[in-house]
Amino acid sequence: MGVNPPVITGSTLADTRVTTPLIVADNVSVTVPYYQPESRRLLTLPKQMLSGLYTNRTKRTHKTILRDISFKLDPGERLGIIGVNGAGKSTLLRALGGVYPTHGGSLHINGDARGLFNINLGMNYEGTGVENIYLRGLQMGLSIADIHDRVEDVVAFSELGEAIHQPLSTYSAGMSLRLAFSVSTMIDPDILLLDEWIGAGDIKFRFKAQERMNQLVDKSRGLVIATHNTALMKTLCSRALLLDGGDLVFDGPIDDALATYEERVAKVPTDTAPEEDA
Amino acid sequence: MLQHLLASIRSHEYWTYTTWMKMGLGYRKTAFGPLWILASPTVFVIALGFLFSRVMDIPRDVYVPHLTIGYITWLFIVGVLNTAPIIFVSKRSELLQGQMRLTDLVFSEIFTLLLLFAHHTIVIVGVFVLFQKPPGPHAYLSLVGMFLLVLNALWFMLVMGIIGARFRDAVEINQAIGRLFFFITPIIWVPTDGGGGAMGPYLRLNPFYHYLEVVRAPLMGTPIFALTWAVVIAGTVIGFGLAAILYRRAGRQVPLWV
Repeated sequence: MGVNPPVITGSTLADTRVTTPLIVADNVSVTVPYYQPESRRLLTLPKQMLSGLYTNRTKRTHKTILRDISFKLDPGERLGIIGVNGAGKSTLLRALGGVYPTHGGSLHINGDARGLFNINLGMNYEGTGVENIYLRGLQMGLSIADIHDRVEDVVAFSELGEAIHQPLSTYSAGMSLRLAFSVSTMIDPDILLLDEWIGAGDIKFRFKAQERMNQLVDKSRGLVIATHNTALMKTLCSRALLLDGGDLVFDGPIDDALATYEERVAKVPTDTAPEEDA
Repeated sequence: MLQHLLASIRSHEYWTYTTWMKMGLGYRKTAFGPLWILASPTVFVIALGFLFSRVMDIPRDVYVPHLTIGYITWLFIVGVLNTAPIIFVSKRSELLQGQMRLTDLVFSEIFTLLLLFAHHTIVIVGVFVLFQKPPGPHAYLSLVGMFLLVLNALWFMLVMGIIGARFRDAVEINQAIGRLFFFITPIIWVPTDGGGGAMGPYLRLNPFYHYLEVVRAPLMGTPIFALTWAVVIAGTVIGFGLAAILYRRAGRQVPLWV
């Protein structure tokens, strides 16, 4: 199995920054292994539980989640990824972030691509808000000094007030979301990769979050975002990729992409309906 | 692998601080906090020390230090053995976030075990004070031994972590090995005849014996066989070679496997 690590080149010269594309994906595929029980009803029927436990074999198979994806991201571009659930949006983001290895083709990332994939990652529920800011910050690759500098901003942005000194286990879902969002936006990478959880929280916080996202996007040299929130995507992105079952089926201006998407979804009414909101 | 190791050493803030913090948070709701780390080995050493020194008819001031150092070093070894196959599997969410190198996760796990070990050494000190038995003249070699042990933990966790992510059977195998070797390695028994004791020449085939001896023998003031140094040093070199090959070939696949 040919596995190509993404080639990461750090650009130093200001002029190369303007000209070289940030991401060049050329026929990139991602294949993941998984285990498939041979019987489809394994461990679902009480009568077969016992025999199934000992006799049923699992076989290891591979599933191609992304197939021959090719696209380019130029500096300053904001790219949306759309597609129904399971189309491969998150996988593409993870491949761009260097988490998943790609098979075949080549993937060049010019700069530091980092993402916000999972909102609750690394949060410790026994720890207080402030402790979690440090924990999470370190996990995102910041130094203690960096976090010291940013912690006040994060606390202020989260609007948690005194609750920031209470353990996370006392937080409501919305509060921990606010904290997670504030913490996650401490980083300012060259290429920002965002997964769909972003547009959450109460309305007031949503506005703030969107503003913060815009700032982050302005600071970063490129953005790739996967979301079902079409309104958010329209405000943020200029261009979009439409994925369907691992294939790249459309690459073009955001409005056209969304139109194509709606058309395709309408054609297949049995498929999973897209959520209006992430 | 080497690049990642060096990068992990540079980002030491991550694995020292987060580990320390997680340990602190883990004990936050307990009344005695990290003192609990001391409770179990202390009770074990006292109970077994007094009982088995009689059963095996060995003077207490020889048997108890032997048992204590052996058992506490063993706790570190078995900790490595048991966590290695699940290290990447259990840190799945960190891996899938993309900023953590495999070596970062290994460093953090070893640091956790070292923190426990550091607490446990208090029990060793306690035993030496209690029996008024000064450690051997070459006791400092024990630090060299511990350093080698940590180096070996490093490659072992990388190798076993990658294998364990691909084949989940590794957890079971390692647990079985850990349980068996606790008894066939001279921890609760002493090879009294200066050779292999009840195990005879077979003792030398037990790698855990050699890794244990480089830490324990200098403190006990007993000699270390040349074979022991050879096994430990060769193990370190071969192990890192193996880790480098595996890391190169399979390291990138780990996020897909976990």
